[in-house]
Amino acid sequence: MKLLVFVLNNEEFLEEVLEAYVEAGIEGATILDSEGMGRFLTYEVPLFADFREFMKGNKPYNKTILSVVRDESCIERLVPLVERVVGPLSERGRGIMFTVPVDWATGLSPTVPPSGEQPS
Amino acid sequence: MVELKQLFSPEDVEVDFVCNNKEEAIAYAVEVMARNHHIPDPQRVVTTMLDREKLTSTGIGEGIAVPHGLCEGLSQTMMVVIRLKNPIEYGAPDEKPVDLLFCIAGPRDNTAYHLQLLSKLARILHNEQFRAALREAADRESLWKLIVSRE
Repeated sequence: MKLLVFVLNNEEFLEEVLEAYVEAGIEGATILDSEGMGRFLTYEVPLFADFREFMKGNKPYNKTILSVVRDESCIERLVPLVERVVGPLSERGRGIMFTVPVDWATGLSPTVPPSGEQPS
Repeated sequence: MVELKQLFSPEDVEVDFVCNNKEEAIAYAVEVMARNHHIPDPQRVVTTMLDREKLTSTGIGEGIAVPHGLCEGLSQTMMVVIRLKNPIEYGAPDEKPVDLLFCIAGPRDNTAYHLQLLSKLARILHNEQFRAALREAADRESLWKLIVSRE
């Protein structure tokens, strides 16, 4: 079981990214409004105000999607689907995706079969 | 990783300088910089720092300012610390007059290093006891030692 974290840089893609999650078989996720460190420092801390140009290209606000994934094959299916929407995640500025092992969880939704499979 | 000891020496510290405003303080800081380092066009560095001040004050509160600028023609990042005899009006967010200036100038393409240095200074200068010690230091040597021992 993994905690899948995806910081989606361009929040305009949120809807399509979540569709990719569902298609990959990820049954639930929590979406957080988030903010890049660069935006905060350059707009909220006057000392760094002159570095706004340096941070240009980074989206000021982004979305962080948290999801506890029981079936780890879902993640393998998800990555290409997400990259179809946002572009290659290896390129700077698309987003950051990573997993963390989860040793216990409760309150999760029942498993939904991955795309292309009928419930048995 | 920024190492303050590598960045400046006791000669880059001035204590009890008397001036009337931030323009004079910054001009003097660049003068000290140019005395100790190679700066092809010191006036350009002054102008860059003053232009930066127009964007928003580099006063960070509690009597401290960090005027800085990335300038064409510089080959390395330099720092000069000026302690004023009499605090000056600086337009800081807390409206307190400034008596400690950490002036930084560096090459235009060295943004990441410049940001790391600013962050390090902001971090160490948050400490109230440290700020008090900077104001009580007897001379440039002890002021320098205080700063480099803090990192």
